[in-house]
Amino acid sequence: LGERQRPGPDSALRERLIAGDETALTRTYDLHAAMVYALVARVTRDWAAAEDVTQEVFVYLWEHPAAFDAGRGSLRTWLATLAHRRAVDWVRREMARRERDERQAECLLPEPDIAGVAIAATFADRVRAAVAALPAAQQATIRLAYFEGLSYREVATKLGIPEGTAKSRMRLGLARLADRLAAEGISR
Amino acid sequence: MSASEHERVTELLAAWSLDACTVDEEALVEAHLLGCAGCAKAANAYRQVAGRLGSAVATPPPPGLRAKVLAAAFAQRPPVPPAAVAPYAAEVRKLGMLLDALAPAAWQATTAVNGWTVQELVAHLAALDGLLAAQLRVPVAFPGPSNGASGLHSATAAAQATAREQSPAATRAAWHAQADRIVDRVCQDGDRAATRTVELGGLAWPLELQLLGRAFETWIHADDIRQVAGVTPDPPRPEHLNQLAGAVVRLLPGALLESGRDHPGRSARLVLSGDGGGEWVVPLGRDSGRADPPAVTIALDLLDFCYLVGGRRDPAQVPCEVSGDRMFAADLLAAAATFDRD
Repeated sequence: LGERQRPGPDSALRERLIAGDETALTRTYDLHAAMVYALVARVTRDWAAAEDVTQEVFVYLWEHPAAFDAGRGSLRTWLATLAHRRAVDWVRREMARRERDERQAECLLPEPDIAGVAIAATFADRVRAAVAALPAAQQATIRLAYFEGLSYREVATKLGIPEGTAKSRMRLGLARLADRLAAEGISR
Repeated sequence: MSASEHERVTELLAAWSLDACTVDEEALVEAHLLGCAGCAKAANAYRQVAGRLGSAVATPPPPGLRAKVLAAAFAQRPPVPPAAVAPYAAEVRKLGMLLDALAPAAWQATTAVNGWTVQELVAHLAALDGLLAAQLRVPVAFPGPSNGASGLHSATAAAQATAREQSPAATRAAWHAQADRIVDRVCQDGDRAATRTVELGGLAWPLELQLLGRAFETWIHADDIRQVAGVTPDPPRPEHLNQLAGAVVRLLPGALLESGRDHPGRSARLVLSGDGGGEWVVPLGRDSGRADPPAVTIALDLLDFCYLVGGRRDPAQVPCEVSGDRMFAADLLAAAATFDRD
């Protein structure tokens, strides 16, 4: 994990993105947009935000193709990382806005329906199995933080555990997940 | 950095990789990572695992999002593919967007080209692109008769027969995927490979000219479809028009010779006006020394010239200014109109 990787299709794609080859962006979109869109929809629980953030992510890649380091992981993982951060940023802005609005209007926005966020087959099955194999406490902590977009403080409050415990469960859970995925041969 | 900062960051790294810290903590971690190789390594390891959690989900985005995202990206940073394939890639993208926006009924509307429907016209484009795809050894959309002078018509007929049995979406997808494969292959091989000779429909031209020929036809037929759909014509951008005109100029001496309109030892100055225009000296036959003053100067609009080459203007009627030998001018314009082989 974290070792430099041999050049693969992702580094060829990166070279083409840097050169300004438009087909490299369309190819990247066709390969990864469903993942980016689903991940953002899951974290934000808002389909319109999912579209906006998906656009942000691909425009960022097109403008900064060199920011993706093909030696440190796959383009898919890199895009997921970028999409997740942007989604959490959106949630933070939205929370701040809602708090403001709530003070004024005292009403909660309805939670949009996000049923239909499917999980990609095979690869996803193995990731899901690896998550399911975690001790229940670590699993709940990581799910809440990653897929619900909660901070470790919010996770601690929600689960009724000290903040330090939430943080250490994230460390232990991710380390165990890394071992498990490596053992399954999911190296990238 | 202090030991307590290092300790605090170590404790936060996993939460940071899940984007579960506060904004202040994020800033603290990210500043620390710049100066601490150990933490940076651990952080990347956590990030890779977290990223894999995310990379396992998938929901197809709404169909319209693709065009929106690409347009936003290309508005920020215009694409610069290898020069040889750029006009073709651009026209393919434009036709793809045009077809996406087409109402289902419009696919069966009759175009000005041989009475073909829009779907049959797209199949025709795919058939001719397919001859090039075969030469480049990428999968062909509508596999059919082999290459050769008569291949153009039989390839078109075979592709249209297949297309009539399928949905417009399937024809569109087959055409587009094949075009992407052609562009990808040329991008991978680079500009240097574009000078090699490729035979298409009995004409042996350098690959770069074949690609410009495909760009030209894709544009002209996209405009045929726009006409049916009531959309205004959308010509290539000026630098691509300039490339297209340059390609025609390179091929004109051959066309003059083939159509028996050549004039050995003579040349013409062709002045094309408008965005992307320019000036070229065209040899009208063998031994046309470029040092001799051209026997005629022909000035016309760049777009009119392109439409003439695309068979959308009559060479005898196209508005142009001629100074010098009018017969040479008429022969050059007539030869330019022979490229259209629909």
